[in-house]
Amino acid sequence: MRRRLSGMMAAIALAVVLMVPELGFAAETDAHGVDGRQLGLIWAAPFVGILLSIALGPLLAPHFWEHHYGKIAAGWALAFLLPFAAVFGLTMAMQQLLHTLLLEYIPFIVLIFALFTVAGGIVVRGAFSGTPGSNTAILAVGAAAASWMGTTGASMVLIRPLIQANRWRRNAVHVFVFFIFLVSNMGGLLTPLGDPPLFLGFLLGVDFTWTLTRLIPHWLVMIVPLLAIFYVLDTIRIRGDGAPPTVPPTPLGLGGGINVVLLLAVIAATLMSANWRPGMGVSVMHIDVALQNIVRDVLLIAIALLSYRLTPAEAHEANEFSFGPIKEVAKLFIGIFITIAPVIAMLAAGREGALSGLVALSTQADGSPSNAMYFWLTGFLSSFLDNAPTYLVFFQLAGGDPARLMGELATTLAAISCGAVFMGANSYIGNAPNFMVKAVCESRGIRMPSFFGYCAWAVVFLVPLYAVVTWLFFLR
Amino acid sequence: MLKSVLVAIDGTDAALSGLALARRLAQRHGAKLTGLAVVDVPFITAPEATPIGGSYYKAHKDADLVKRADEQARTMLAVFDADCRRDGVASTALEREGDPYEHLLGLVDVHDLVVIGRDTSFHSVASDAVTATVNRLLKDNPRPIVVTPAASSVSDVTVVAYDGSIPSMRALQMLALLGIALSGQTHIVTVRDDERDASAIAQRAQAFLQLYGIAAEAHPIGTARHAADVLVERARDLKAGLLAMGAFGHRGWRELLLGSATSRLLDSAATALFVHH
Repeated sequence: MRRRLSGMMAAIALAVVLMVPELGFAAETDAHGVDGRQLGLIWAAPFVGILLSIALGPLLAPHFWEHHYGKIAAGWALAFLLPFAAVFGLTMAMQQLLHTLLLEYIPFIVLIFALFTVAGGIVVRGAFSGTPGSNTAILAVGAAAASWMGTTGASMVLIRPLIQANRWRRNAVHVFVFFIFLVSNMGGLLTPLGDPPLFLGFLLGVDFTWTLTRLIPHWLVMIVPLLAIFYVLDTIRIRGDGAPPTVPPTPLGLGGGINVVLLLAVIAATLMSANWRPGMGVSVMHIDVALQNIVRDVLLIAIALLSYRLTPAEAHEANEFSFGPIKEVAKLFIGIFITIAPVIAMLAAGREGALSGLVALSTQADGSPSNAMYFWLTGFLSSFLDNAPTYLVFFQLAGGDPARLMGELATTLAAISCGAVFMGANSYIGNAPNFMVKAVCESRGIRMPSFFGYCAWAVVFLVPLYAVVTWLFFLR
Repeated sequence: MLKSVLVAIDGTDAALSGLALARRLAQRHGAKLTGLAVVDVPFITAPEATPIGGSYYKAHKDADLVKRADEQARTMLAVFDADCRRDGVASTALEREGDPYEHLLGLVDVHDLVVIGRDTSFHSVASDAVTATVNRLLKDNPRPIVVTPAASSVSDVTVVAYDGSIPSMRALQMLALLGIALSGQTHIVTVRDDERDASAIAQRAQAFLQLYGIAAEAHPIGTARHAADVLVERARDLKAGLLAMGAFGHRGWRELLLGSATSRLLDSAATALFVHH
């Protein structure tokens, strides 16, 4: 009781400080106004620390990590915030924190929460036999759906029917590897709903339709050859599996169908925030939150809660739905978003910042950005680190101005987007649904490739296509 | 006298072949048979890199796999119990969780013989290679061990690979003491460069077995070929059900050059191998 009371008191105090800034602080600069030129490389240490913790924690101290990852993320966030407050003042630190929370973290997590909840209520019913034709069709549908329901959502909905359809086969591991390539990653390129880094771009000012209108050729250059390669490979490998069992014709259908409507509502809410400009909002410590974004986030939360309430329990059970993964994403991303702030400020300082070496590396002799370098650097880091913060870093490295990045630097933004989305497929840890698919397969007795075994599949089938994408789109 | 046999219960063909052999031996000698199934929790829950949001899936996958392994172990042990009852073999079925080698080692001291499939890892996954668990058991285990391949022949013929080395002397004595070779034909195969040498060595083994009432036939072979290849061929020609030999005796330049005969036999023999060192 005492704990609850003290928690309420703390919340009220925080609310007072946040909502009535004049009581405590005077604004010194614009929000998010840290001058990157003032920051040395040491300020990037908490960001590097949290990324290394995420990468190494589950390997080196799995039990400790499993029980304390939230505290570790909070520790890294404080490792940035406390020294920052000491050096630049409490006001600047609070503004930094608020900017991160209100403009980046909350909208990001709310969308992921909504997509995850809605997609987690959709179940594909019916039976089909896993043959090259039907498998290729499922991969194609999944790749197309991923851009609209998120790579995680599409993976969650389609992986179980695909496993069921291929249960009779002895050589079906490649089906699930290509599923990770196509549905869990590549497919998500076309809208900000497809993959979290693209939604970050949307939050930073990239138009909702920019990816759809600009990146279809890139998407096709990856998706079409991969589907063709898969069809040939599956046709070869099915020969050793014998004749497919006769599956009584059961029409395919959807369970939890209300979620399809709610998915359209998610898309509509996001589009609304992109097109409605009421010119109003709420200002908290000089951080302006636009009304359309507040409305969008409230709608998304309402849609998610509605979905959770209306979805039949059998649909959630069929998808083994749980909020566990979202809790983990929420706890770790708050640390990432807070600690990445000084890195972004340093990148914004360009050649005058502490990360000038990275700026030089991605710039050609004539001062223009090296798009191929952007593609491969974003991609390489996205292969092993989360692709959302990676996208954010390179977006800022390219200047961070959405209007310019959609205009004269559109190829650079395309390179960053493609690198972050495509190359998340290079390892099991490049993108969250990759590991989810692996875990679901293994839970059902399918022996998936080892970590490096999977990377070898990616090197053989994906890297040549990355080379083609580079040559076609990023060398000119 | 063979009083007790420990057999590793796993789902591979090699493990099933070992189980059948162990049951036959226990039935013939009136020995007690212990079947051990292990849920290899350290293997199943081994740390692995996970992306953000992946810890939940890993925890659930691990729990699913441990549960599945536990169910599989219970099923296999129930079948083991039923088969032993049918054959009139006194048996104990044990299920353990943890490191398989440690659990095997914790039981060998109260058994005369260990029988294990060549690819037994307690993961029910067939493999062409000898598993790490079997290799460790071959190296660090005080008792004789029988390693079975996937399709070993069911026969009472025993072939003893005897080269006069100390490990082969130990293996021969243990075979005789346990009485494993009593019930069928026994052949002594000695492979040397010179056939006269081979004959002299084989005769000494023959004489030793006679002390235990075992009438063995000697097969001295003079050849420059690798002993393992010759032994595999001869065991096949004699339709052997068991090939007995000492293990890991020499570590000299010859073995480094040619590979241990035991290792080669483990990899290639279609016969159950009785190994003691």
